[in-house]
Order: sequence, then structure tokens, then C-alpha cells
Amino acid sequence: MWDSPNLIPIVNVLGLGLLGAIAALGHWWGKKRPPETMGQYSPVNMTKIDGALVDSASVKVLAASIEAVGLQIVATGPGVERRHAEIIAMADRFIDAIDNHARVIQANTDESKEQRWSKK
Amino acid sequence: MVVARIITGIASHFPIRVSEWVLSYMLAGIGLGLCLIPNALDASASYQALIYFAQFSPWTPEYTWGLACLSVATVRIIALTINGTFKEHFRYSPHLRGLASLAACFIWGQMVLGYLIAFTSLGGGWTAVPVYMGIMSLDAWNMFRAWTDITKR
Repeated sequence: MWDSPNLIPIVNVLGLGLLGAIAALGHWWGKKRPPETMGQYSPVNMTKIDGALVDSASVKVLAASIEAVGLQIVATGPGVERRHAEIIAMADRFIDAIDNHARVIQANTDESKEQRWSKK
Repeated sequence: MVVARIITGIASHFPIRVSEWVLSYMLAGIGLGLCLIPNALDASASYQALIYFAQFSPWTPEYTWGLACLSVATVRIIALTINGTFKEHFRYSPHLRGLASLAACFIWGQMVLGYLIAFTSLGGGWTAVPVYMGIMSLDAWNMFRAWTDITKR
């Protein structure tokens, strides 16, 4: 068998047939699997966000800044509410003061009018 | 700028294309040796499958196979470089990779067959048979991967 002169071409034809089958299998496999799951290299330092590859380090920095801002808001929240209440109370006092002044001015105006009429 | 881009592109794909790179250098080395060493295929009886196919060539068997190995290695290295760097401009690099892997499988197959014939009928050693079978299997896998990449485009 191994001495046959036709061995080399026969084995080569069989081998090329096998390689063709492997290529056809790869073609079928590539169609079957979605692109995201096979064949595409995704570097380990990249994160896929909404279909885009983003540097993992920048994602971590962004997440850390969001967390820091959130913590700052939580920490300053009661202070802001207190200041808000103070501003409202101050505004109420200001309005009351204006109202008092308006009443005084009105009273003075009425008094002066009465004095003028009595003179006549 | 372009050099930096090529280096970055190759480096980013290297982990999944490492076998293709290594086998390309192996083919280039074999090709260079066959082209430069006169009567290289007469050194062993294991090369008779290579000599069989070279009878159809106008050149000497060494030069024919040397040129074939160098051509396949060059095409493959170019395809790997494009695939790693300029794939948005040239979308046929998986096709080139697949064809280069097919040609490389054919070359490795002649090695396997030659060593197998030498082992069975000429008293040759066995160890080269599984080694070249392994190399051929790696390239068959590379061809499979290249074809899955073709379909996705």
C-alpha cells in the first residue's frame, strides 16, 4: 500500500476534500454565531458599552467621579435644606417688614389728609 | 505615526493570531532554506511527496517549494498586518488568511505524507509524523477561524 505510486495523489485529494469541509464548516459556523460572540478580539482592558469598546480605566474613573458627586450630594443635602428654610424664613420676615412699612406710610398719609381737610 | 499604528494593531490581535504568526515564520524559514541550500531535498527520503509534486514545475524541486513557502508566508504576514491595523480599509484580509492557511496545510500535508511513507516503507523515524500532523492541525484550525471571520463581514 505505502509503495503505490498513486498513494500521494490519492491522499492529497482526500486531504484537500477534508480541508474544504473544514472551510465549509467554518463558513457555516461564522453564519450561525453572532459576531459579538466569536472571532472578534476584545482586548482585556476594554469594556463593551452599547456596542462600543471603551477603555476600562476611563470607565472606572467616570464611575468613581459619579460616586464621589453622589456622596457629596448626600453629605451636603441636609445643609442645603437648612439654608433653604433659612432663606424662606428671611424672605417672610422681609415681606412682613415691607408690609409694616406700607401700613405705616398709609396711616401717615391718611393722617396728613385729615389734618389738611380740618384746616379747610 | 503609521509605524506606531501598525505595532499597536498587531499587538492587539497577536494573542489570538499567535499560531498564524509562528507558522508564518516557520514557513518563511523553510522556504528560505530550500531556496538557498542546493539539493536540500536530496538530504532525506522523507521529502518524496514534495519531489512528486515538483515534477510538474519548470524549476528545481527545492526552488519550487522554497518559493511556494516564501509566497504563502509573505501573503499571510501581509494579511495579518492588515487585519491587525487597516481592516477598515481592506476587508479581504480574512480571505487572504484563509487561502494562505489552506496552502500552508497543503505544504504541511506533504511533509506528513513524506515522513509517513519514509517511516512505513523506508525505515524512517516516527517523531516527525505527529509533529507535522500537529502543525497541520493548527493551520487547519487557523483556516476554520479565517472562514468564520469571512462570513461575519
